[in-house]
Amino acid sequence: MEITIDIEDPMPLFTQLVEQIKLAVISCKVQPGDPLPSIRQLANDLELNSKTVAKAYKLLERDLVIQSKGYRGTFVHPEAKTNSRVDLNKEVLTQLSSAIISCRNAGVTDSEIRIAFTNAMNNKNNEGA
Amino acid sequence: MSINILFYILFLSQIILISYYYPKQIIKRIESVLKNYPPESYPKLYPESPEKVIAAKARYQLLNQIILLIGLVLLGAYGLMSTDYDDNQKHAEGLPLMFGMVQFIPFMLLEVSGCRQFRLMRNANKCTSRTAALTPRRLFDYVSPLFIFTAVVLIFTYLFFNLYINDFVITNSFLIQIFALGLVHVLFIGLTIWHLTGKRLDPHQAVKDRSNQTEFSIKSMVSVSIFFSLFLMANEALDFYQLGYIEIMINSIYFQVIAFFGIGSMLKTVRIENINFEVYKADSTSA
Repeated sequence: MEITIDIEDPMPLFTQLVEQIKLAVISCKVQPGDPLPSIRQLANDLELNSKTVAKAYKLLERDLVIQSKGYRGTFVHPEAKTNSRVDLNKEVLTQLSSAIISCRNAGVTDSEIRIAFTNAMNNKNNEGA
Repeated sequence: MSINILFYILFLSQIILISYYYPKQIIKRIESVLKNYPPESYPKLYPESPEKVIAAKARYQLLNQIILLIGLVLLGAYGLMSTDYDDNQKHAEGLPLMFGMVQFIPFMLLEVSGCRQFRLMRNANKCTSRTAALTPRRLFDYVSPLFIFTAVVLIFTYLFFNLYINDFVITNSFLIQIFALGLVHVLFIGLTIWHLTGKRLDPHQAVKDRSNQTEFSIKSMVSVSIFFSLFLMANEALDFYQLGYIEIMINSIYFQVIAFFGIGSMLKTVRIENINFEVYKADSTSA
C-alpha cells in the first residue's frame, strides 16, 4: 500500500497525510492491527520534516485511527474503519455555525462574535474542557 | 610446490573473478540499460548526457584491464620469487589482500559515480508528488533472525577463540583486530539503519525496487560479517598451528568470497528485467 502527497497542493501536508491514511483504512488497504512505518521512515520517504509526520500521527491517534505501542511501533487502531469516517472538523463547523446563527438572531454583531470567540479561545478555563 | 600451484590457481581465479568476470557483467548491464532504456524514452534516468555514462563505462573498463594486467604481472613475479622459499615457509601472504584492495577500487569509483548521478537526479527532480509505502521496513522482514544470530555468535566465537589460543592474554594484535571488527560492524549497522529508515538516493526509485535493494544490501552485509569472523578465526588458527604458509591462500579465498557475496549476489539478485524503469519516463509522476 502506497500513499502519495503533493507538496504544491494548497492543503497542508499533515492534512494530506491524515486524509491518505484514513482513505487507506476506509478502502481496506490497511487492516486493523497492521503496523505503520515509523515517523522517521515516513518523513524520509516523503522527504518531509519529521514534525509534519509526527503532527499527522498525533491527529490520527487522537481520532483513534492509529495507536502507538511504545517501542513496538505504531499500528492501525482496531476501530480505525469506523473512526476514519468521523469528521471532527465538520462537527466543529456545524456546532460553531449553529452558535453563530443563535448569536446573530439575538442581535450580536459579527465583530462582537469574533471578539467573543477570540476571548473564549484565549480563556485558560476552557483549555482541555 | 603443490601449495604454490594451488595458490597460482587461487590467485588467478581472484584476478579473473574480480578484475575480468564481474566487471564484464557490470559493463554488460550498463550497455543493456543504455540499449533498452534510452535517454529519449527514459530521460529521468540520465541527469547527464549519455555520452558521460559511456565515458565513465570506458574508464571503468580501462581501469579493470590495467588492474588485470598488474595482477598477471604480480602472479608471474610471485612465481619467480617463490622458488626462493620452502613450501612450508610463510611468504608474500599480504599479496592477495593488498591486490584485492586495489581490485575493489574500480567498484568503489563506480559507487561514487552512482551517488553523484543520484544527486544530479534529485537536483533535476521537479516532480511535486511524493510516494511512500505504508508498511514499516523492519530488519527481520529482510533477513532471517537465524542469519543475524549466526553472525553475532561468530563474532563472539572469534573473540573467545582468539583469547583461548593466546592463553587469555590480550595482545596488541588482538586489540587491533577488535578495532577493525568493531569499525566494520559500526559501518554495517549504520548502513542498515540508513537502508531501513533513511532517505532514498534515487528520487524516482519504485517502492518495490527499494525494498529489493534493502534486502540484498542487508543480506550481503550479514554474509560479509560472517565471513569476516571466519576469516579472522582461520588466520589465528593458521598462526597457532604454524600453518602460516596457507595464509596466502586463505587471504585470496577471503577476497573472492567477499566479491561473490558483494558483487556476485548484486548481479544475481538485482536483475535489470525486474527493475521498474517506468518511473524514469518523462510523464511518470512517481517520486
